[in-house]
Amino acid sequence: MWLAEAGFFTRVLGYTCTVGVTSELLKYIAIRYTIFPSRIRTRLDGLAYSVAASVGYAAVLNLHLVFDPDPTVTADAQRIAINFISQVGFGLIMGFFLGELALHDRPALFLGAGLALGALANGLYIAFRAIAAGSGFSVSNLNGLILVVFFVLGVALAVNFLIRTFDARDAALQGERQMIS
Amino acid sequence: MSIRTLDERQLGLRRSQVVNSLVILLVAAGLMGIGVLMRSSTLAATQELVQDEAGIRAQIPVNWLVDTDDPRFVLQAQDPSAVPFKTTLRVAILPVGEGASPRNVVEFLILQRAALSAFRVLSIESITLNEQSALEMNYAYVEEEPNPFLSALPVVVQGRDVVVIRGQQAIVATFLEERSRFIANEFLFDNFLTTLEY
Repeated sequence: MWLAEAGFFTRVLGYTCTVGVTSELLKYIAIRYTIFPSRIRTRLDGLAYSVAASVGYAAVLNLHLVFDPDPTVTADAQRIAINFISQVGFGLIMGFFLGELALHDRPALFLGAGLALGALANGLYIAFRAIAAGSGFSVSNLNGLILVVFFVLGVALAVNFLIRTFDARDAALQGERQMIS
Repeated sequence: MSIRTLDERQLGLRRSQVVNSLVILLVAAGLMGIGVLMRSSTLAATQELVQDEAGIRAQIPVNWLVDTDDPRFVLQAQDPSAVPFKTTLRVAILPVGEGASPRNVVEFLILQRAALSAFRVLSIESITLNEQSALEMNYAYVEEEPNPFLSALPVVVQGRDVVVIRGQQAIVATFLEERSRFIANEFLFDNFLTTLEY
């Protein structure tokens, strides 16, 4: 509400530092204090647990829509789907960083960077959603769903690329070690 | 290699994981701190409003709509994003006779505002404004949408007038807000009065 009249970059920064960081931190805490690091054996494990944590977070986020005393079924269903897809999508970022840290030693700021990136993805999405709403696209219909699907698809492709690259690098290093021994 | 990894896992977190676990909390606290600072600076951001003809100067929240053309008041600022009632800060100047007190002006205001729907005076208290004695009146009324085709529900508005005498003029500073948000936004009027020069 307080960012409604702010410029685009202020809005991105505002949403990143409030909604974004809170949601990603909660997902991180759910994983860090339950299964991390013993249950993460591959990078995809990090993603899988992160998706589970994100589903839980999205479920809580959607509770107020479910218990709305005056529901609009179609709009609420779309809103629930949007919350679900966006949270699961942005959770992939934290999942990748957690998976990587569980398997390898990383610099001190590694997880912090993951949190900041996940929060930034949240902030960017919310700011773009506001632009879409202001430019005639309605966030409560199919266009809102299309926007979030494309956004999350972008995040998923980026994470997929990183995992493939890191896996390939690990395989190459393993091969080098075997050659040396 | 696999045996060493198992041992490490039995021991708990590796050093880099512990360090990262602490650093991420610092990063989160830092980002949240930036968010809180941004929020408070956005909400508290003000712009100066000057009405030279009336000799009134005050700070109002940025991006509020300003009206200085209405003959009923010297200046008025409204929050355009507030729903269902636009939060209003207003200053009016009334001519008064010599020896008039804030109490006389308040009584006049009560008569004037009696035309409002369901107008009720809630309290009248003596206060001090800029080291000068003033009178504060709290009241409520029902604001109705004049256009019947909009089918809008009536809104209960709570108001506060602060009256102070300046020579042969009475300065009336007014705050109007939807009843449920009155207390939460009271600080806007407090800030407005603090910066009000007359």
